[in-house]
Parts: sequence; structure tokens; C-alpha cells
Amino acid sequence: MLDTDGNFSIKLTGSYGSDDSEVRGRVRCVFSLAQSKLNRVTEESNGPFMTDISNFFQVNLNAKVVKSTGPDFKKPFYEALVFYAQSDSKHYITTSYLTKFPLMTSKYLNYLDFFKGLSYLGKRLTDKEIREVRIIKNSMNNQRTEFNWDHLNYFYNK
Amino acid sequence: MGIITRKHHTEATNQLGYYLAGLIEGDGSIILRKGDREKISPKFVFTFHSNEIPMYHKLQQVLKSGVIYKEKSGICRYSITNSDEVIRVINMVNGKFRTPKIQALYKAMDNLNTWRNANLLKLPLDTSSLDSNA
Repeated sequence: MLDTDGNFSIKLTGSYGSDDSEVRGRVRCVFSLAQSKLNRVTEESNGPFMTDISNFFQVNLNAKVVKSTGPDFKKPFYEALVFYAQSDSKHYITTSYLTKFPLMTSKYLNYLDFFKGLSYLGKRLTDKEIREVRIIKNSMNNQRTEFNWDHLNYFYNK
Repeated sequence: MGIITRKHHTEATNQLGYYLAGLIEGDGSIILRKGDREKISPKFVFTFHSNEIPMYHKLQQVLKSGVIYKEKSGICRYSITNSDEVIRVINMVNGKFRTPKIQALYKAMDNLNTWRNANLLKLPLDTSSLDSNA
């Protein structure tokens, strides 16, 4: 499910002015998962399993209203359940899970970028580091143009 | 993150069924026919962006079944329609679902039991610890 509906992103916060500034930019890595609140067909609640998953990642589960995308959706908006794992001290849960059970879609490549982002956590970034993070950010998710599928050599096979 | 770790976890631990269950619960649909067409086997359809074609090709190779096609809108689908293949996939994922989508799986099993004597036993949701399988 994380392979289809999970999301990885890197955010830059703070000021990126001079290297001497007190409020230097910092990086935040975010792993999130969103599901519609109700199953579209049976209208059963997705709350219980989303609660289990958010507990597993030690984060709060939130409700929000999301705009529908794609031709498959009949309603313009729907209620969703979403959690964001973005605490520096909790990322080990995400990385240990995804090392044990690796992703197979191109989301794996976004996870690798997220993983690179983790090495910039917890410090005030220099201009050089901010540029490096921007390069990673600008080539992941929707902006991805390079797809390396070597990881499929290690696809789940039995 | 090493390739060796990856290989260890994907080959040695019987995880394909769990991975497939999660994939169906995420991007998959279980299509059932009604009325006069009820006799036609239920089918699995995965819907995805064309970027993901290599992954679904790999899945198709591993499962040795199904067809991948691209619609005019650009959306891609991987469809498993042959009833024997559908039954095989159900046996792989049975007992591994964790979401309400299990109701659709149960309906497919009812259909296959009625029309094809598939003799599928509806196993309950997997409530084991999340880090015990993919």
C-alpha cells in the first residue's frame, strides 16, 4: 500500500541568506500516507487500518478534505485520512520498515531521494548544502525525469 | 539500503503474496459482474501511471499472467481476467488483506465458489504486526 499511496518529500525551511545568518535553512523530510476515509465501493471506514498504520509509525492520524484528481473519481472532493511522519527522531521507523520490505514502483526512487535528504537533518545548512538539497528536491516525485529500474532485479518472487 | 539486504528480504521471506495484497488494496480493483454476466469470472485490474509500466511488466513476468494496456487518456491498466489465474492470485493473497477491500475479495470468492467450484475459504483480515510482512 505504501508503494501505491505513500509519498516522500523534502522541505527546506528558514532563511537561505548569508552563511552567517542565525536562522539558517534547515531540511525536513516527510513521509506521508493518505487514504479516502471511506471505501469508495462499500463505504466502510478506512479508519481502523489507518489508525494501526499511524500508530506503527508513531504519528497522529488527521482528517482532511481533498480535491479529487483523475477521471475515475465521481465526486469533486472527498474526505481523507492522512498522516505525516516528519519528526527527525522517528525516521528510523520508516527506513527500517522499507529496508525490510522494499518498495518496487518508481516511489522507491523517491524514497532513495528522501533517504539522501535524511543526511542533511538536524543542522543549519550551508549554501552549498542548500543547493545540493534543491537538486535532490527538483528531480523527485512529479519532477522526476530519470527512472532507474535496477531494483526490479530484486523483486518479490515467492 | 544495500542490494544484498534487499535481495535477502525479497527472495528469502515469502513476501510476494503480502506485497501483492498491499498492491491490490492500493491500486487494484476487484471487478465483479452482475445479473446475466455474473457467470463471467471476477477480474483483478491495477490502474497506474505510464511511469510505472516497468514495475507492472515485472509483476506480469513473475505472475506469468495478465495483460498490460494503455488507455487513450494515458492511464495504464494491468488486468488479470482468466478465472484460473484469478483463483491463483486469490490463493496468494488470501488472509493477507488488512483493509475493508477484503469485502470485494470475499465477493469474488463467493462468485468463484458458486460458478467454478473453486472451493476458496474466506480467511480473515491479517491483524499481525505491520512489520511482520510486506
